[in-house]
Amino acid sequence: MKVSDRSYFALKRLHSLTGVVPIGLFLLEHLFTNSKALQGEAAFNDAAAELARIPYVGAIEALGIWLPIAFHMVLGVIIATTSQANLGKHGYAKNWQYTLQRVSGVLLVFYILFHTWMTRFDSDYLNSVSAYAFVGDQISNPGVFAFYVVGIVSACWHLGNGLFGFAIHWGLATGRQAQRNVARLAMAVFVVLTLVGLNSLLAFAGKGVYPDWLTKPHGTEHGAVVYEGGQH
Amino acid sequence: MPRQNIELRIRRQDSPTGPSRWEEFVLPWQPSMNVISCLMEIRKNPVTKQGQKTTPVNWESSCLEEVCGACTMLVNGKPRQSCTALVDNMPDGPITLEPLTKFPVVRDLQVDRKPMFEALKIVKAWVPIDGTYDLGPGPKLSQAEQETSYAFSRCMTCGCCMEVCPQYNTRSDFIGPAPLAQVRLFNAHPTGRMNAHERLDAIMGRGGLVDCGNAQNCVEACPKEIPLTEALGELGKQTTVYWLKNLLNK
Repeated sequence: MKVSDRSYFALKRLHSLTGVVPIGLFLLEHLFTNSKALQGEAAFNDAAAELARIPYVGAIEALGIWLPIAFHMVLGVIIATTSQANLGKHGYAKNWQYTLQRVSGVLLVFYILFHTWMTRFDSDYLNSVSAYAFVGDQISNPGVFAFYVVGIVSACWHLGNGLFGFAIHWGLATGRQAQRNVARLAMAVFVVLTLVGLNSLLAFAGKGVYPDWLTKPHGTEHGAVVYEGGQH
Repeated sequence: MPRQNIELRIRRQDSPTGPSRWEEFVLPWQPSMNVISCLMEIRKNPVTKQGQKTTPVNWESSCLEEVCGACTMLVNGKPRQSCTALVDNMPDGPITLEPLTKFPVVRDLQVDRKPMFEALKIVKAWVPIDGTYDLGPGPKLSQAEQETSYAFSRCMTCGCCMEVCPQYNTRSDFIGPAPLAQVRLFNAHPTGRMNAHERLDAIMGRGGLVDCGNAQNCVEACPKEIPLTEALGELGKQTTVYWLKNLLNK
């Protein structure tokens, strides 16, 4: 396929944009809903059911999630193939980030295909009574659990570090200090999202970390317990 | 303690398409030697460490004070100017010399950096002043602007940034960091600014700015400490604004 110079620019910029909106936003929403698993089976299943009740959910899902992800994936793989990684020769920190961005992207292609199949189209899932229990059952397999860990870390890295690239591509961070700050912010996003993501994964195995000081609204220490059906 | 002998491992290649091979040389240490003076010593008596007679090593150099970029090569695997590669500052052991890998080899350590010069033409890295009448003196630049521009004007198209850039390779059309930084320079020039959109048009195509992958190796490798990544960010801003303006106004 031959694309004109102008559409090439637009496609590349769209690639950068879709990574943040809507895919980045979707990842935040996804981790939010997954974290409901910390509050127990009923809380997560309710949250999942509530998502299915979003008006126009089919259109939002197809145009707001699947299409952008497919586009980002295809162009991303093409971009990755034009790279000549040289970490061995030039092991600078940013070069590590650059390389890991591509590695995580390619891993995510496999992970997302697997994950979408298992929790969206697999007949066992569609016939299951409890989504929570289904995922818990899945990740009791150490191989699947490990793949989920890889997928979560990759996704959080790809978004976090992607924000750094986004800020430079679009010219939001131009100066050296600004770029340094964005890089720090990107790493913070990566770390926080990874912790949240992995904790929600553990929650499906009933092992999530959910201390009161972290998860209860401030000022409710002496008041009524707000959550029902929690495991703690 | 200075070394007694200098050992050199040099990647040789007789012709642009021919095979490459390693040759080793040993020469006596002398005070204040750099890689070029080593090569000149070899040229006096081109005999390898093993005693084999060989041809003199071919290399390119001109200014010998790190402002022309001609003598750029891989010294111990890192792209740098061989004139300022001082032997006494290098770690013990043999010194490895190789031609840059991102440009076609002419012979031995000499490469053809023409792709970079062609890219400068593509991005119109100049200020057009030719005309039928005297344009008079250009507008004045503030001190701060002068200092920013000066940093970018130090580029000697040596190719170090291109060599380390993972996006600049035969599989990609990317024109590389050095020509892009010159767009940043000439788009800031008060007269050059009048043609800013032409340069932006040139870098918004295939192989242009959007093919940068933000590995930021360029700024690490630049011997002139040119803020290349700041140029890329600034051009990101300029192209974003220009692109959106075109989308909304055309």
